[in-house]
Amino acid sequence: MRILTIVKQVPDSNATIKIAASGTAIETAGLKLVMNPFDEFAVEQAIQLREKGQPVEEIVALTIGDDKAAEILRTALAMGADRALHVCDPTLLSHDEVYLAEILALAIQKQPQPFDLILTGKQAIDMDAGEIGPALAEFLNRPHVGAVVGLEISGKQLKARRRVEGAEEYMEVELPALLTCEKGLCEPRYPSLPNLMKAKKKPLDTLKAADLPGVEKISRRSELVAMQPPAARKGCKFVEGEPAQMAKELVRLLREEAKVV
Amino acid sequence: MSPLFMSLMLLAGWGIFIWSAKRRWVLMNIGPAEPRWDQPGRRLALTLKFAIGQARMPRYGWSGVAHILVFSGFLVLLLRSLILWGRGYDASFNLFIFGPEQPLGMLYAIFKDTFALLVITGVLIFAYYRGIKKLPRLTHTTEGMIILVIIFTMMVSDILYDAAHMVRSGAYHRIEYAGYLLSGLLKQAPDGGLAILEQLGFWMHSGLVLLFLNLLPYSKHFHIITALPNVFFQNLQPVGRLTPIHDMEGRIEREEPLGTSQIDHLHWKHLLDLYTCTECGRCSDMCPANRTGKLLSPKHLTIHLRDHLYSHQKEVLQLDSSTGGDTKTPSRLSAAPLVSNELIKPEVLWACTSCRACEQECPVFITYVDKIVDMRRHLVMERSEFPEQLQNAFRGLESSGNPWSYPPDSRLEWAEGLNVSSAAEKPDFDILYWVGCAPAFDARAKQTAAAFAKLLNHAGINFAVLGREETCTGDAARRAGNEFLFQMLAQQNVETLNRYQVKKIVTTCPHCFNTLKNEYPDFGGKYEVVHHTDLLADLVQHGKIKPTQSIEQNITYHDSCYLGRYNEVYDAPREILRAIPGVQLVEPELTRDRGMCCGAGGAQMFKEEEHGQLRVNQERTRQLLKVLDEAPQRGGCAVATACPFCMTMLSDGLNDRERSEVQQLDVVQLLAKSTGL
Repeated sequence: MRILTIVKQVPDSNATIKIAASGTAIETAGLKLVMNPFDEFAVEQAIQLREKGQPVEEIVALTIGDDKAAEILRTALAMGADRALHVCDPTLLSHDEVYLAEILALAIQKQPQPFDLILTGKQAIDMDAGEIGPALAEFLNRPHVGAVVGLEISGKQLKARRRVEGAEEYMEVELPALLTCEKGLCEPRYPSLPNLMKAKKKPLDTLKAADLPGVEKISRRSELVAMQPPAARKGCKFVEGEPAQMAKELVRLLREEAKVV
Repeated sequence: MSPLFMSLMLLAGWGIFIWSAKRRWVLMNIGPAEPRWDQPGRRLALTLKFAIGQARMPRYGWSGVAHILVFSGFLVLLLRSLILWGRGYDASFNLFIFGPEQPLGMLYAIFKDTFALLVITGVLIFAYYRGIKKLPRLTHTTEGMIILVIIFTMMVSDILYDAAHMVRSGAYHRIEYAGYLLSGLLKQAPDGGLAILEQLGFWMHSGLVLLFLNLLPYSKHFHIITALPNVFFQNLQPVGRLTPIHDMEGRIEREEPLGTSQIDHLHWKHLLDLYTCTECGRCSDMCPANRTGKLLSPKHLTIHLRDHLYSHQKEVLQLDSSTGGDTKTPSRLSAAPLVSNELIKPEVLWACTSCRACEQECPVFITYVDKIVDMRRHLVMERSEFPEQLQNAFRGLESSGNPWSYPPDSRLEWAEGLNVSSAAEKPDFDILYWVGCAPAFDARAKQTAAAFAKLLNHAGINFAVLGREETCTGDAARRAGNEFLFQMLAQQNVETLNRYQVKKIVTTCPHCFNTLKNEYPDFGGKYEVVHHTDLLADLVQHGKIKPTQSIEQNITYHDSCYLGRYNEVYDAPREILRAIPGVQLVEPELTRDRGMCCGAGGAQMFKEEEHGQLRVNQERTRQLLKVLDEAPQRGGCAVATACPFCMTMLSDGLNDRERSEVQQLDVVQLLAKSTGL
């Protein structure tokens, strides 16, 4: 079995996000960038399949992004991926995930050997679009199960578990397939130091977009036109005094100011 | 007497002992090199004080006193054994100058008998603790009792020999008073019986000494030989400094270990520690983890490591002879991994709060924290196995420079409206206030930072902070075993501090204090580092801060381990509290260098506590409440701390015990309140 994991570099969830002067991008200077946490589940799951005795011949990590994005490929290699592919071209960067999925599909099809299982996060925490997985499955013409929290494979049969409101669903698909990963699937590991060092020596190939046959026929379907910070939250108001007094004041505020009762 | 028999006995006794000792010597040297010959003068002074002078013994009451008696008796009676061995060849042998009619001999006779009686007293005290009181801290084995019986018999047989000899020869030396007194009882005995008694006393004493000598290398009583070098070769570096692993990338390339995973990763001094442990259990008695029912017991950690080491002696000796004495070639031992469910359980290592109570108590300066951290280093960096909550802290430190992953931009939120400048804004500051992550982000500790800044401004101190350029010192990462992450943070911080040409640093956190002061010099960061209580006590003393408003409370001060035991700051926080009018300072039973840990150190702050009977902070809170409740009641009471982690742990402890009426404040907050700020 050959597994492909698709990962994306995103701002750290604790980073303070500022909008760049252009108004259509965020300020990246000094911004701490990490692997999208949902994509970490994908990489971890691939490694665990191998560790738990599945015949996994190769685990490949793939990303699309600028030069810096190679950092998260090293992380994936340190976690246990065998080699990495970097589709690198700043002009490709877009928030149109269907467009990105189409380029990824070209890059994947260009690989000499096909992948039996493709794993990626259910969404990237920067734009929260959640389109890469399903769109890529369409372009590659494979079955797709989204937001998976459990996984069993026997031979070519794959049984995926996903949570829905008030229940759990079990889906069966035949490999090759594409799954997107949800929190709860596994706990991503903290790479050991020797593995971090070894990762520096694992193969990381960079593909130029121009090298992908057919890339000229692809175009963006949507354009990001503006970004705005969310409106600042108003401070809380504390009602003070004796309980009876407070209750009275609270009702008055709810009625007169908030106009909800 | 019988020269032939004496010769055979001495030859066998010393021969077998030297054979045993040589094997232990080879075994001790299987690990990496560790130079310990620096500062010989200081080493000698420490040996005189703590080994010969037994300075740590009285800390443990009567058993310590008993040890002093037995130890000094052994020193005095060494000479007697030499004399008796000599008498095997010449019945009148007295080492030339110690004859019963010679002045030195008379003096020695008094000493000898007195110390023989003192040793007997000591042995009886030991036997009482071991056999009747059955002290739980001791390891109760037959070996312990046998040794006591041997020592007792050695003393009695010596006196018996003197007494019988006096009656038979008619030369009553009253100065050998123990023997003389006993001789009074023997006068009526027939000469045949007396001759047997004399021979028995003589051979028992001179033979038991040799038997005893030969038991040493195979028992906990090896300390009689190893304690002296163990004290002499003790670590002279600051106790708050963990040894850095240099060139980690190179070590990985060369496949050298990054921590301790096998017994031969411990250097000779670590192994000498194992030889020297007497299993007295003072370490475990004071260990906060052990006191609250965790799996960790420092004594048993040492014993397990020692037994494991001894079980590999045969293999090491074979290796030694096959490599011509070179046991240091790579992968020399097939030893099982140290950290495993069969040997040292990971839970044992993760229960340590690195409080150093064990090391403070150990009479022979055995170290534990360094060994535990070295095993954690292996677990974290090589095996990537650690309590999962620590991963959040590691990731936070990597991405945001603080263990809680707060945005670095919010580091100065506590200082809003307080007239606090950053080093970038005010490069001509005199002293840098290193805020630390907890005082920067934790809601309660922020108040400590604010109170401290107000006091500094009030006293006219020209200070600055680093603001968003500050990152965690890496204390927790280092003590959790993540040396790699620690060094990353240390290098970054040293670079920042040197860029601002910082000379003097003050901290509100004892963990930052210890790391900046004792560990950053290894990474090129050499600064004068003071703790906020030291600086404030000084300002109060010089009248720059005048606490005038009365706080009518009973206050107990909880010693932070990293301030107290690690850096010996005990008085400054107490001086501040005493300077506040109205404050009545009350001391808990475990205080100063015996102060019990709050439970947060050694990265415990960032993980769940290991399984036990109760939490460390609950036990510590109980102790603090006890002294507050027993003191005559006044306007109220408070627990004062000088560490943000202690603050969190003890407030949680007070909440758990539903004692929220007891205030919990940093010393600096109390001082600010009394100064009217």
